[in-house]
Parts: sequence; structure tokens; C-alpha cells
Amino acid sequence: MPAIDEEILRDLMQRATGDLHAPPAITTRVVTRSRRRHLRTMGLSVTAAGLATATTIGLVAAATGGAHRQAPTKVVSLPNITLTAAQRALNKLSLAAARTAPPAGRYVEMSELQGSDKRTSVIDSQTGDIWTFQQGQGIPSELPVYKHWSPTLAQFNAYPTGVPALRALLIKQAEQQAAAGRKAMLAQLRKDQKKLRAIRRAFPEGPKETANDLVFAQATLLLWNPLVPPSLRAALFEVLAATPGVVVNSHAKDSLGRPAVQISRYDSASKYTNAIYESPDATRVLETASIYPATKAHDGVPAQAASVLSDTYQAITWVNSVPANPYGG
Amino acid sequence: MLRVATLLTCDPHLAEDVYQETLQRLAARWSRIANPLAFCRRVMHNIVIDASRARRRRPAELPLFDTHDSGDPRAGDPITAVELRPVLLAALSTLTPQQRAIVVLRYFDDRSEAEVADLLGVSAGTVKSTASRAVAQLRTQPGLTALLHTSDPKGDGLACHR
Repeated sequence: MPAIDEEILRDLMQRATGDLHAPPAITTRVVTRSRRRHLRTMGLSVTAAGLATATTIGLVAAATGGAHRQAPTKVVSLPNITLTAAQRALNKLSLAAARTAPPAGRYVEMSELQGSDKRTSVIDSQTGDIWTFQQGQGIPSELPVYKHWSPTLAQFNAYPTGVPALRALLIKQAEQQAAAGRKAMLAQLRKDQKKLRAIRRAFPEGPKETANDLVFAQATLLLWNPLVPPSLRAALFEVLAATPGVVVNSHAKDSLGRPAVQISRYDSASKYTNAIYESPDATRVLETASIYPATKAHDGVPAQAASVLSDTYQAITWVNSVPANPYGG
Repeated sequence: MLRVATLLTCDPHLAEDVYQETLQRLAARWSRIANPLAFCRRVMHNIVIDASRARRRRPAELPLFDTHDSGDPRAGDPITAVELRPVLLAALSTLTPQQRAIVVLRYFDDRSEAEVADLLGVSAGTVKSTASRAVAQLRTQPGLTALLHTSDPKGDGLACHR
């Protein structure tokens, strides 16, 4: 009886798979999915997509290596790109944002409502530092200064404004922030192994956020930041227009009843909907909201009713000197 | 590529999915890829590793019946292939995904040790030792050795290719 050596193994593998050929249905599915992807992102030219797909099919036929190669597939001409209503609304916001004059002043003052609490934050556009005054029951009247809380105006001006480059940057930033957050949390929890184990049991690792989830979260976070210049806001709307799953309601109202454009997206990993309410003139975000659906009780976790957590921004003003505490603290 | 996918996954149906996903990624990144075949090999390996990790987290699926496929009529010797395949895939499935990848790339795809090492991001020494251990492991598989034992003595049996 011969022993199994490399030559025999090679022979076995060749013979055992000699009759395998890729079904044409697979390449058809790849072509269809590629076409959908190109239509969605609108980033690539129609011709390049057709050529790439056709070349892929040619490569597959060559790579299967059999004598029975398939006939070359025809390059299919793709239909004209049709924008969805959401994409048209976002492109409109992008144009409006691009036409906005950049604000003048060093400090930006944002007043907001969180439930019944009032809060005013002052951000230094040159350093990115933020300090916050508050008014409400059981909360401190002032929060400690958070150094370099935001990129500065100059840093924002250096951000790319092309859709692919900006999208890649947003994904990178979101991943870095998530990694830093996880690291900090684990560093804290490692001191208490019991707690760490309990948390891991209670929150098993769920589905990971997709690139589109990260892009939406990061883009809306930047749109909210008042230091972001109009040109970058315009580019962010374009990025959102190229992100699948974004829903736009152009005739929405925020919780104060102001007319707004609601831009939302369901985050499949976190299982809730993130929304921002943009002013119709595309100058600022009026409200941000996290909309949680009702959940049933499971594995000891009680059922929860549907809920909305929102922050409403009343006014944003730019000034040249440090503003005083508006609540007289 | 489908043959490589079948050997890597030991599951003809999963292999088709892996193959399709590989093509999908290739098409999506076509303009940025210098060496498409190397890209496909690497991507295919990554998908198989990811799929095997994901499978470990899910309850095992039991096949409803034995899936002895009938082979492709275009192939030269479909009967031999259909007879050999279940035995070979069963033997390969006893290896780890990494061992399988090395065996397939090294002996089926005829890549040198250096090429396999570069592709999988490991050292050439690791490739050599892993391949050696994997072959030793395959030698202990009763199905494979029985197959060799009963191979055709007239001249087209496996032993005659040595």
C-alpha cells in the first residue's frame, strides 16, 4: 500500500476536483450585484464598471483552467443613473450649504435643550476647547473645560471634500474613536475582573457595524459640530447621498415645531435609528435624535417601550470675545 | 478558483458562496488591483477563515442527506472525481483552516513555500512545518489510505503516478 505523500496528494486533489466548473449563474449574480453597487454609489463611471465586470468574467474563465471555457460574455450597457428622492434632497442641501457664507468670529456659542435642562456650550475655533454652562435641577452650573475637544477650524478646512476620500476618512475616524473607547473601557474594567465577566455575559459581542453605519454616524456627528465650514458640510451631504439606507423627510419638524429636513438611518448593529434635523437652509443642525424601537423581554432583560432621546439646539452665534455665563452662574 | 474554494472549505455549496464573494470583491476593487489572481487567493483564504470562525459561533448544520453531486458532464473523468471527492474532502476537513490553506496552495495550486508564506502572512518555515504536519495528519485518515489500497492496479491508479 503506498503511503500518502505530496505527489499523491496533488494527484488526488486534481482528480477529485477535475469536474468542477463555476456555474454561469454565479458570474451573472456578480455582474448584477456590481451593477447595483455602482448605481448606488454613483462614484464610478458606467464604462469602467462594465469593463471591470467583463474582465472579471474573462479572468474567471481563464482561472478555471478547463478546456471548456465559456463564450465571452457581452458587455452590458447600463441604464442612466436615476437619483432617489433622498439623494435629490441631500444634493439640494449640499448646494445650499456650499452657498452659505463662512461665519466670522473666534468663539461659537451653542444653546441647547436636553429635556428640561438648558445648556450653553462655548467652543474656541482656534484651539477646539469647549466649556459648558448649565441650568437645571441636580446638575452642576458649569462643566470643566474640555481641552482639544474638537478639531479646530483650520483643521476642518484641511479635510478632503471629495466623496471617496472623505468617506474613507470618516470610516477611519469612527474606527479609531471606537477602538480608543473600547481600550479605555477595558482598561477600567480590567481592574475588576468580576465586573468585566458580568458585562461580557450581559452584552455578548453582537453584529459589527458596517462601513455605511460608521459613515452615517460620523458624518452626522460632524454636521452637528458648528466649527465645520460650509464647504465641508456640503461634502458631507454628498457623502450621505452616496450612503445606502439614508432616509430623508424634507417636510419634518423638530420638537420645537421648527421646519426641518430629517435625515435618518437605521443602525443594524445597534438596532436603533439615528436622526438629525437639519435646517432647510442647510446652515446648522436643529436637533439630533436616537429613536429606539420597543423590545420584548428576553434572557432576563426586561421589555422596553419605544423611546426617543433628543438634543435640541436653540441658537448658534459666533462672537469675538469669550461670552459670559448666560445663566448668571 | 472554484476548485481551490472547494478544497479550502470542504463543502461544495459553501465553496460556491466563497467563490462568488471573491469575485464580488474583485469587481468592487478592480481598478485598484495590480495582481488579480494573487488578490483572489488572498481574499478567498480570508473569507474561508472568517467563515470558519463564524461557523464556530453558530449551531452546527446537519445535512439532510448525503450530497454526492453528479459532477459536470464537461469534465474528462467525472466518475473518478465524484468518487474521490467525498473521501478527500472528509480527510481535508480534519485539518485546521490554516493547514488546509497551506496544503491546497502548496500542492494543488503549485505555489512555492515563499509564495505561500507571502500570501498567508507567515514565515516560510511555518509553511514547511505546517505542510509536513498536515500531510502526516492526512496519512492517518483511514478513508484516504483505503482509497489508495483499492486503487486500480491496471495502470491508472493513484499509486502509479508516483
